[in-house]
Amino acid sequence: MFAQAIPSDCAETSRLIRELISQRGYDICRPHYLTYPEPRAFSDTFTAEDFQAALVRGNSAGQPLSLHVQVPFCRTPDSARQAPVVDTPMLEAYVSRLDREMVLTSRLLDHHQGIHRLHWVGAGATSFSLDQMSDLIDRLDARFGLVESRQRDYAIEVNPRESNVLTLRHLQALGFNRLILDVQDLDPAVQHTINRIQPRAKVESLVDEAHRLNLDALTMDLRIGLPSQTPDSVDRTLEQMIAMAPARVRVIPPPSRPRFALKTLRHRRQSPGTSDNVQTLMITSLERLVKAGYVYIGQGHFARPKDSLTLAQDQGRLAIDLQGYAIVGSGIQLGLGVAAISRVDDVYARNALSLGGYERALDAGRLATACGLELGGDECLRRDAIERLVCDMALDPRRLGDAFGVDGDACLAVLERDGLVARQGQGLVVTPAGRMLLGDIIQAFNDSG
Amino acid sequence: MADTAILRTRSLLQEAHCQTCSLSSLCLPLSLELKDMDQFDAIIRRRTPMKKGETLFRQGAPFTSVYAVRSGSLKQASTEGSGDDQLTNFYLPSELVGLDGIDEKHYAGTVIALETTTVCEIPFDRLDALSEELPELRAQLYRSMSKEMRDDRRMMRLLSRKTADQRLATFFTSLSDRFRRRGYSPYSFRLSMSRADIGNYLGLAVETVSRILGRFQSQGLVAVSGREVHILDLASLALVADEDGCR
Repeated sequence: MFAQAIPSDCAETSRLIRELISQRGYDICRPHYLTYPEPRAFSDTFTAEDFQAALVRGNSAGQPLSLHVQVPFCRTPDSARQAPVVDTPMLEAYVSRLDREMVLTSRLLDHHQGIHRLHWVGAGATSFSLDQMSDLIDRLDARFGLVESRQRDYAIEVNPRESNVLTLRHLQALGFNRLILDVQDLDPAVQHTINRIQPRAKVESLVDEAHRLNLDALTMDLRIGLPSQTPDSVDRTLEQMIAMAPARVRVIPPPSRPRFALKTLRHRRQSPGTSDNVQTLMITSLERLVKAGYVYIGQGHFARPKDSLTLAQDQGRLAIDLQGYAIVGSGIQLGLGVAAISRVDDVYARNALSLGGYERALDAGRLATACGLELGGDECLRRDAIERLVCDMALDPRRLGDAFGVDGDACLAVLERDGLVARQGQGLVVTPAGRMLLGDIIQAFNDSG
Repeated sequence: MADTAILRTRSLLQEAHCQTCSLSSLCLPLSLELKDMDQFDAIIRRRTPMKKGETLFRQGAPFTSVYAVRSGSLKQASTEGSGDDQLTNFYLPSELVGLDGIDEKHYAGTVIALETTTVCEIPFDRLDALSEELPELRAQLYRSMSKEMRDDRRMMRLLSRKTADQRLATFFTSLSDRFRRRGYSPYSFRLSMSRADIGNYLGLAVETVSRILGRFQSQGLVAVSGREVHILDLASLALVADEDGCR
C-alpha cells in the first residue's frame, strides 16, 4: 500500500504535516487508539457480574485467549512513568492478588487452547524478582495453560535499568519470545532529569543478548515529551537506537494530561514548554526513522520492511488489540492487574485504577471490575471500521457508510480536503500525511459517530 | 578391621605413585614407558589432601607448577576489573590445573577445592626439562593444552549463543562425558559444585538454574536429589543441548 511510498515523499509529507498542525489545529501527539469508545467513556454502572456474563458468552464461542498482566509499579522512582514505588514483599502480595483474579476468571474460561498471546506490561513488568517471575508464569500455566508453539507471542516490557543479561536469559527460559525495551531516551541529560540512568552500553548489552537468545522481534520504545529533550538530543538518541537495529521501534507521544504538572520546579523549568516543540520532536523522529529504512505502520509503530507486522499490513491481515498491532486476531483479551482493560467480543471492562481498590475487591472474592461498556450494534460497526482503518490504512466506503452514515461523508470531505485521506478507485486510503496524523482521523470519526 | 586399615594405607601409598595410580592412563604419563614413568614420578611432589574450600593458589601468584587432580574436584575463579568473580573452570580427577599460567608466569585464576581433594604438584621447570628428554611426555602435554583450548572454545560458544536450557543440558552432557572417559558412571555422579557455582559458570542466575533443573526433572531427563545427579535420558539431554536456540 502506501508504506513503500513514504520515504521518497518524506520531506514533502513533513512539510504538509507542519502546515496542518500550525494552520488547521491538527495534533500529532494524540494518544494512540486503544478502545472505541475511549476508556474514559466507560460507565461505572458496569459491574463485575456484567463482565463475568461476557466471559461466559465469549467462552462458549471457543475463542483463542490473549492475556496481559499490568504491573504499573517500579522498584526505583522513575518520573517519566510516574509509577508507585514498590518492594519485593509488595510485589509478592500483588502476585497472589493476580492469582486470585486468575482463579476467578479461569473458571469461566475453559474452551480456549491456552494463552496464545501473553504480555507483561507496565513500568514494573521486570521489577519482580526472578523467582516471582517464575511463580507468576507457573500460575498462568496452571490456570490457563501456556503454549509452546512458535506462533505464540509472549512479550514483556523490559526496564533496562532494572535488567541485565541474566534477566533476559531467565525470561527466555520462562518462555517469553519477544522483548519490548522501554529505552525512553538515551541522552544522559534527559536520563538524569527523569532519574533513569541507563547508559547506552547497558542497553546495547541487552540488545546483543536478545539477539543471541533469538528474541529477534525486539521493540524499542522512545518517549517524546520528556523534560530536557531537545531536537538534538532526540536526534542523538534515535541515531543510537537505529545503530542497535531493533526490529521495531515505538515512538510514544506525551500523555494527554501534563505528566509533570505535580513534579518539582526543576521539571517544570526544563520541560519542553510549548507543545509546538513536542510536535516538532514527533515529526522529526518519525522522519528520521523512515529515512533509516523503517516502515511506518501507524500509531507510532515502526518496523523493518521484512518484519511480520509490515508483511501483515501489506497483506491486509494486520490486527489491533489492547497491546497494539498484532499479526493474528486476539479473541478474548483478558487483562489482569490494576487498571487492566479486558475485551470480550462487544464488551469492555476495566479494573480498579488504584491498587487499594483492586486489592479490596479481590480480597472480598470479587473481580476488580470498576467500569466497562457493552457496545450496541452501531457502535460495533464504528469500532470495526476504525480498527480496519488503523490496521489497513484503507477503508471500504460501504463499511464507512454503514458505520458513520452521512456524518461520515461530511467528515471525510474535510479529511480529503486536508490531504489526510484520498480516494483510490472504489476505496478510501490514508495518505502518508494521514498515517502520521491518524489520531486526528480517528478523532474526526469519533466525533461524527 | 586392622587388615582393611593396612590395605587402605597400602593402597594410598601405591596410589601415590604414577606407576600404580589408576588415573595414569588419563594423566600426563599416559604414553610413557615404565622406566620413563619412574623419571616422571621422581619430579612430582605429593601433597596432603586439601580440605573443602582450601585454596590451591591465588590469581596473580607466581606460576611455578601445574597440578594433576588425583581425587576430588576444584573450581577456578577469575576476577576481572569489575570485581565480580567469574567461575572459569571446574577440574575433575586426572585433569591438569594451572596450564593457563605458563605464558604470563602467574596464575590466571584462583583455584579452590570443592571437596576433599588430592593433587600431584608437578614443578613446571622440571616438567619442561623432562619433556625435552621424553618426546611422549611433551606430546601428551601438548595434547592436554590443546584439549584445554578446545574446551575453552566450546565454553565460549556456549556462553555466546545458547539459551539457559541449552547451557544446562550442555553442562550435564559434558560432565557425563568427562566422568565416562574417566571410567566412572556417565549416568550417576555427584555434583561437588553448588547451584550458585553452576549458575556463575554458565552465566545464569541461580534462580534460572533451579528452574531449569526442575523442568529437566519433570521432563524425566534427570533426577536430582541434593547433589546426586542421575541422568535418566542422556540422548534427549543431548538433543536439548544442540537445539537451535528457540523453543
